[in-house]
Amino acid sequence: MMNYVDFKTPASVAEARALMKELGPQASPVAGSTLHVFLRDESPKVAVDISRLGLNSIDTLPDGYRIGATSTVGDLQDFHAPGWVLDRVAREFVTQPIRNVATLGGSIIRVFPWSDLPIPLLALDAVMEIEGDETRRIAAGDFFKSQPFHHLQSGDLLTAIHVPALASGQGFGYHKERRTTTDFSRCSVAVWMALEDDRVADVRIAIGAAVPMPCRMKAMEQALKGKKPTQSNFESAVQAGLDEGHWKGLHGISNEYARHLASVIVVDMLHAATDEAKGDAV
Amino acid sequence: MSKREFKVVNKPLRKIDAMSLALGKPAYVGDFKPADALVIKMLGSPHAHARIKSIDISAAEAMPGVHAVLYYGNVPRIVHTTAGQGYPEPSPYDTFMFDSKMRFVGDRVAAVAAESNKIALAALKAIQVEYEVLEPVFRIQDAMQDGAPVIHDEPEAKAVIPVPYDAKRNMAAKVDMEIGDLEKGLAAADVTVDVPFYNHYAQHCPVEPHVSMAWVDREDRIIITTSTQVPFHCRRIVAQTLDVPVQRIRVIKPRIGGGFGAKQEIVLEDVVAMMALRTRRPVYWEYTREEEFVASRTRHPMLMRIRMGAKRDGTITAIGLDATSNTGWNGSQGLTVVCNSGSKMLPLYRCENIHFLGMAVYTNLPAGGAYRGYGATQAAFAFESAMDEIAEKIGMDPLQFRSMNHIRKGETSPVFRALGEGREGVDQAITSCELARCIKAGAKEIGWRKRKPHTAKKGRYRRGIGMACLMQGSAIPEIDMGAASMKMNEDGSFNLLMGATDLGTGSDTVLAQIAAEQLGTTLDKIIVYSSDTDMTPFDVGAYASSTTYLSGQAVLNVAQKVRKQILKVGADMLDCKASELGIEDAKVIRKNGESVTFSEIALYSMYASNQFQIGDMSSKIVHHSPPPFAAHFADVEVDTYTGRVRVVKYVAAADCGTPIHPRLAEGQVEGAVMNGICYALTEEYLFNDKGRMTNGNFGDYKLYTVSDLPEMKTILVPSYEKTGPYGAKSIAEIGINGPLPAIANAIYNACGVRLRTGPFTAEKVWRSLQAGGEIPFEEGH
Repeated sequence: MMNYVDFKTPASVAEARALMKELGPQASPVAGSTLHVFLRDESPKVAVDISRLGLNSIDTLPDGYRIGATSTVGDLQDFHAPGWVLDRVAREFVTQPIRNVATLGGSIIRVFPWSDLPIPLLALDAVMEIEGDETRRIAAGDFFKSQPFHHLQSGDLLTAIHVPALASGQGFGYHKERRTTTDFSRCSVAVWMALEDDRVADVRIAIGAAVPMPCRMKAMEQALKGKKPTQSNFESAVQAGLDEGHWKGLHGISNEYARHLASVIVVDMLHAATDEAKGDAV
Repeated sequence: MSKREFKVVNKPLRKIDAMSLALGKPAYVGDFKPADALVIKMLGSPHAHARIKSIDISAAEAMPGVHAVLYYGNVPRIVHTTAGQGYPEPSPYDTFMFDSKMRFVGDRVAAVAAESNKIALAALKAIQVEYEVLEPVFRIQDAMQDGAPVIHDEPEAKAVIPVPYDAKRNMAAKVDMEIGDLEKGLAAADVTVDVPFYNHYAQHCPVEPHVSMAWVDREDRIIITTSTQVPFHCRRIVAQTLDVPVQRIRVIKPRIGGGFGAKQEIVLEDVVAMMALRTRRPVYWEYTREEEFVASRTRHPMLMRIRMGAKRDGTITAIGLDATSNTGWNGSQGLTVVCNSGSKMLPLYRCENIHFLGMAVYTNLPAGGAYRGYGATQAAFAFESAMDEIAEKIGMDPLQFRSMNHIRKGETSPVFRALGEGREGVDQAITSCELARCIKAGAKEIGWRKRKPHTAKKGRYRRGIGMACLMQGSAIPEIDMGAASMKMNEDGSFNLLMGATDLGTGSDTVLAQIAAEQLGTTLDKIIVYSSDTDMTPFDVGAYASSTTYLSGQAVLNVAQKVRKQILKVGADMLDCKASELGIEDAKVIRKNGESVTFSEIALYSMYASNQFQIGDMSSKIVHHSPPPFAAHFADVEVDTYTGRVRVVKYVAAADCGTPIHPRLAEGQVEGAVMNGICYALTEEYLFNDKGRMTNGNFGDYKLYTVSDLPEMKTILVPSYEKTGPYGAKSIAEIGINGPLPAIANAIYNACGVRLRTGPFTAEKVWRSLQAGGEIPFEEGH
């Protein structure tokens, strides 16, 4: 647990940024505070409360949605709109009491091997909005290349996440493999796919938990483009791209099984995305 | 006693403590922590096997806010057992309050009592220890080898009852029993199996971890308030360990936040008592969850070898069971748990040639102890899996095979006499058994008739149905004793004082129902107090599925005595003979309609004539241990691509005699089944190569929550056990024994994979599928 020595309640993003700049490494932005359970930094910290800055709305944009960083996972679950898929992901996020307090921003600013939310954001090619001396945008692929908080300078704040809406002919699949509802993920897979003329026009495959950091499986994606969405094509592409992953089993499972598990789930999620893209999703 | 219509018993009445618990009123040890209590923290050994070469506590002692530091150099060295069992204990004496030898990662090095957690933890860091690291041993088979590291090389280690014990060979217990001739029985068989099984580590995971506090009162007595299943054993063992008279100690048990056997052990109480004496301040010690996993107690992991033979007509000709437990760093409950592996399963099926070999072996891992099921859980996995294997070999439906062989009412088994708990057992005939009806009802509910062999199944997701039959016991005959006392108050209410220990099961309510039924009054007129060694009569405590059957008989007896006194006073008041009177609705009624109320009777006896307080006390020792029986059925789905197993539906049909409180009895079954499903599928201890547990928290060690529940159906099949109170037998433990074998058999029925080690993880199932049905057997953790 963190060692908090003070609690600040800024009234605006600007005030929060100024405080964080002033405090430097001692500042610790907090909203849902669930992340802090997993941190072991014992140095004195000042909690800067960013949960009351109006960063918790989900706004509809012409091509998608802008999600405030302090929106809770429960907010993602409750939001319903055309092409919105994150409710499916949110439902698999631990339990309702935790979904009610854990925020999207807090769940992606520091990534653990078992983190849930980076996986769909990678597959959706989400864009992170960071409020610094100027507003910056970072694509998910870059954002999750290393620990995301490294992208932030002193006083910077992750304020929003942009995700596209699923359009006609597009589909999405997400699966989190776990032993119980409260379990950490053992392998998470998210797939976004666009079909044209019954062929894979574009696809993004993201994996987490079975690998040290969430990542895209670009070799698999490449192998699928232009192919018909069939079981054999999916299996061949997945097998061809498996060596790209640095497979690492968590919680007592072997690396070999982590790799196998990922291969099965990716194929499953390719089918799920295909079904949705074809309009066959249940 | 015969069957009749009940007014209080066999009714799902509101638990007597339901409202106070629901309102969150102070009830548990932690609720009574004094504001000025010192906090105790323990320094655990970083090594699995080591000797302390030097230890310096001076810096810790000198820290402001630190009041005492205990270690082996400043406490009495008195060998004892931590097992909360009757005296003389069947568990070996192999434990000291502190020792210079470390026997597992987390073993007691030194304890600090300080003003706050923070100060105590800082003081632990200030203790300087130099270790001589010794070679550890973690596996049963390694510990039994010649030349293996000796874990208990101290001269004091000994058995205190005449049983085999050889600490120099890491053997904590051994029992060998043969009825008939196993080899002859195997030779007479048409088919045989000879297969190994391994039961893995698991912890009880009570919501409330071990927690104790103590202080010294003005009479210099040590008052211990503790979450224990065995207050009287606790008092005796703490007195022994501190070398103080029993009369100087009072143990109070408030509500318990779950025990499941873990709290049948003296884990904290010796240290809190010693700290209270040293500091003369109230002291409080609560285990962290990690300590609960490592330093309290666990289910004994067990290696099993089962040999079984049968004729093609389904007659079982031979059963051989070798059960070797890993008792960990101490031998607590080692002998009796392994005895139960034989005595609680071997009588289940008729057989003339039976051999049982049980052993408990020391290793440098966490210690086993009492855990719901108590050895029967381990044996049920091996036994009921082998039953399916034999049935398949003779081409018989496993349900039919069990049905034709299981024990019935009026029958007996030589195993009852041959195997007791650490000594010879007691002859007994089965006086109630509705196992046949349990099998029938359970089979109907699960849809057994539609069950097909695994060879007929195709596709990725395959469903399978498996079953297991079970029996347990009800208290330990000729050993366990319970007692209760009762007094009547002016308003017609009764104080019922019991040593019996409600550990969350609802036994206070159940026992009050028995009293109210006998007295002819309502449940709300029974004021229950349990347990306090100064106030309540002796009871061995809550273990061995004994409370309803044993303590219930003590309550019934005392209520019968009090009833007689009430009738006698009533006869005096109504000027007639007691034989002319009956009791109904808290009134003594004469045949002509005249009546006096309980309140009038109490006032009369206290204030009017021949004054005395109506009340009495009764002790009870039982001579039988009537088994509850159960048939369990699991319907599972196996994802053959990933190996993941999902329990779709689970049916448990149980015969517990008369369920005194049907809803609480169902709750016991459901809780035990959930406990067993987690044990079968998700629970496991992970250790690194140094013997350190790496998943000692609820983030990594997974238990089901309500949202993971499969469809569950509990069917109580009533019988009437004439030796029990109002026909009751036990129900608390038996339910946990079924899921491991029933799910294993269901997985086999789904996809042809035979699993011999738990838990049935997805990876294990997948690897077995890859290997064509079975992976090479190896001892796990």
